[in-house]
Amino acid sequence: MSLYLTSEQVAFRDEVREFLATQLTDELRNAVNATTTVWVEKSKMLAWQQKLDAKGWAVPHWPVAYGGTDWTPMQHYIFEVECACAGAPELTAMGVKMVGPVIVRFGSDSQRNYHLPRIISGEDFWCQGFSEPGSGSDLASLQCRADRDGDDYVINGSKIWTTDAHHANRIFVLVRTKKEDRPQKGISFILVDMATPGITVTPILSVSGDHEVNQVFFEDVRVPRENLVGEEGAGWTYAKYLLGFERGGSLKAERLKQELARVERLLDSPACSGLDAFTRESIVRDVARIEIQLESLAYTEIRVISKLEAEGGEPGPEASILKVEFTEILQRITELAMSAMGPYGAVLAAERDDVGNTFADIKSAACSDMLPIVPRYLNFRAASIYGGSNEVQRNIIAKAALGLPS
Amino acid sequence: MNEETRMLVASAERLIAADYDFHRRQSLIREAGTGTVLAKWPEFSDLGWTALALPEALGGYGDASDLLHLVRTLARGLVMEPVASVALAAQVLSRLHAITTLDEIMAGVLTGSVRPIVALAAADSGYAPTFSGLVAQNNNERWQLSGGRSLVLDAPAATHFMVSATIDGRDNALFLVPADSVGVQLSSVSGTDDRRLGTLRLNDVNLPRSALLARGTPATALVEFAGDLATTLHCADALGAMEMLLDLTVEYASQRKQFGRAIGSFQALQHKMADMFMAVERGRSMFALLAESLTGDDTAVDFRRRVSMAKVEISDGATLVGQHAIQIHGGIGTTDELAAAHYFKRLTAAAVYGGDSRYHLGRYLSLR
Repeated sequence: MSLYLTSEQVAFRDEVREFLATQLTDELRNAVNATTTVWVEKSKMLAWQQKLDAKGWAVPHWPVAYGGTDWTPMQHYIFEVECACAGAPELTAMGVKMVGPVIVRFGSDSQRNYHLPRIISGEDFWCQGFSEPGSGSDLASLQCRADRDGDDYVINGSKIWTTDAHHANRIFVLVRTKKEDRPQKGISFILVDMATPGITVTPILSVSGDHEVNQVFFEDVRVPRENLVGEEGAGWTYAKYLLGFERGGSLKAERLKQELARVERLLDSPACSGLDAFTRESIVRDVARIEIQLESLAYTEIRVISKLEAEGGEPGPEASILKVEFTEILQRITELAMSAMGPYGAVLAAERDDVGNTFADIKSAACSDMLPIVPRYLNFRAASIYGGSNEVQRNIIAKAALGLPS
Repeated sequence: MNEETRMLVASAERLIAADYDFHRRQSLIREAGTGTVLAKWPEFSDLGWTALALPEALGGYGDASDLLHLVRTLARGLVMEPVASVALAAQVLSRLHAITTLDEIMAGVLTGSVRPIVALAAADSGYAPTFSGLVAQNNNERWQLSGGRSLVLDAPAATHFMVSATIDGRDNALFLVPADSVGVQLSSVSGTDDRRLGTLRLNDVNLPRSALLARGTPATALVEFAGDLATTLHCADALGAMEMLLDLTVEYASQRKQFGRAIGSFQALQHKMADMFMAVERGRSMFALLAESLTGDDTAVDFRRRVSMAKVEISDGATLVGQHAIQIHGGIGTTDELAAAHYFKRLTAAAVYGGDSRYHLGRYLSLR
């Protein structure tokens, strides 16, 4: 394992840089910078996905046969790092990183042939129907039901915290197809067209006033049997496979470095010029401490990748470690950004439209850095909750990595 | 890890398992009294550990990353012999191997008969290596050294001291002082980890011209490198002790019963151990960074910055792992009779040796 690049890797890196230099526009970069939620605005994300697709890089982690690449883990690493450094949008995960790999691995040929190209092109925009009002971190306790009726499943129940359900034309759901002795049994993984009669989407506004998540209601939603992925009752296995990707499937250290750079820009901005020396110094110190944590996280990420390369398989407890580290460092950075805002940390940027996209009394380039800070601080409290709360991740580490008793 | 490294680690693991169990170790410390434990030293040199990471031209083998792996593995057994301290001095000497008068010294290092120890701190110099507090004067084609060096780890084991000094109040310099020279006085105290920390007094110690190893810029660079390599080795030592202490804690928590259940089944303790595990993983990442930095082509300033990054992360991790381990062990963890307590002490010392996390954060800030 080494972060020193071979000449071939340098050539690949240069190819990625060249692509980014020619394809990534300021408009896209600014959209990333202004994002207050997990994913960048849909239209911008899709614009970027199409550029990646034209180069054959929209789904590099998929097998070549389905439109992916045969990159080595080191190439994936280089690609992610370069994209992050350049400030490129991240592709919304639900299609390319979640349901895509599940269909590749467990789907039928006709599901692969139909769905995978549509995910790559962006024609289909997916959302994830896992969480329910009554089952948060205890995912296996889900109640949403799919009953067999002839050649159909009939789905009844509700899904919650559904990111981008208001944009999506498809949803993959975990549903209970049978009552069994263990909650993990009897769960199935079904693909659903959002236009199917009986589906209603209602928005849930986040604390910052942003609309990213929703509740989705299913009332006698009739879905053909061939929309079942893999075997009936084996959905839990597929979900765990998917969650491995959700939690540890991407490299985040470099993204966080960009986020930290924003804090440093803030410190140099007019808004922060009034900060007292003690506060400023303690922020600078915290920035340095987080930089070191990010260096450590980068090496952990590459160690995980190298291990996968050497031994194959899927990320196990490593995915939990990466999820906890990433989200907790992310939250620390949002806290630090709040400190760097000084008194402006008390201004809810939801007011931004009324003041012409700027803070009332400060007109400078720094505003584009300042605007998302408060909403990001508020919204990313969810980072340690979603994708399996960090407490659940620590449970997983305790059992899977340390072998502690139940 | 390549095959050679794997074999090296395996031989260290075998030695620890065969005759370095905790009770044996404690009796070695008692027997050594105010000295450094050297009971296994001949065996270590027979195994070739004293030749590790030295230039092949001198009879050495392996690279600096192998040395880090060895130090990490020995720390799993809380080994007391001065492997890291002697290797550190040998690494610095090997960068001077053009000096022919050192051939004999290096030959002695390879066989284990010579144990040079680096001494770079004055009583009031804080964490950074210093040239002050020890003065060298040119006297009739010979050198005369006066002053002192403090907190010299493993000093009682030294056959030679490698000391930083100032010549004529101007030039930085590095000298090699035989420990049995007239005018050398050594006392020592016990470190938190039971290793010995020496106070060295040099009273008009008269040495030949060849005692001067480096002067001016090369001396400054060597001393700086010595300090950073020392810190790197402390990181490797801390990581090994952290890994082992986590293992011991998980084992204890899985067996110890309270309220009718293994305490390791309680979520509050599981989460503490998950945090310990994540601290160990961060340590492993920093270990990889250090190994890469030492064997790659990092510039001096890159190396310095990375050493500080690693020490910040590992000092903080060592403290967290040590404290959590004691909490999970409960009352017994606070006693001298339990191995876990001695890992805690090793980690407490390792967090300080070479600079604590605050010092290195400040240094990192000045280097970034």
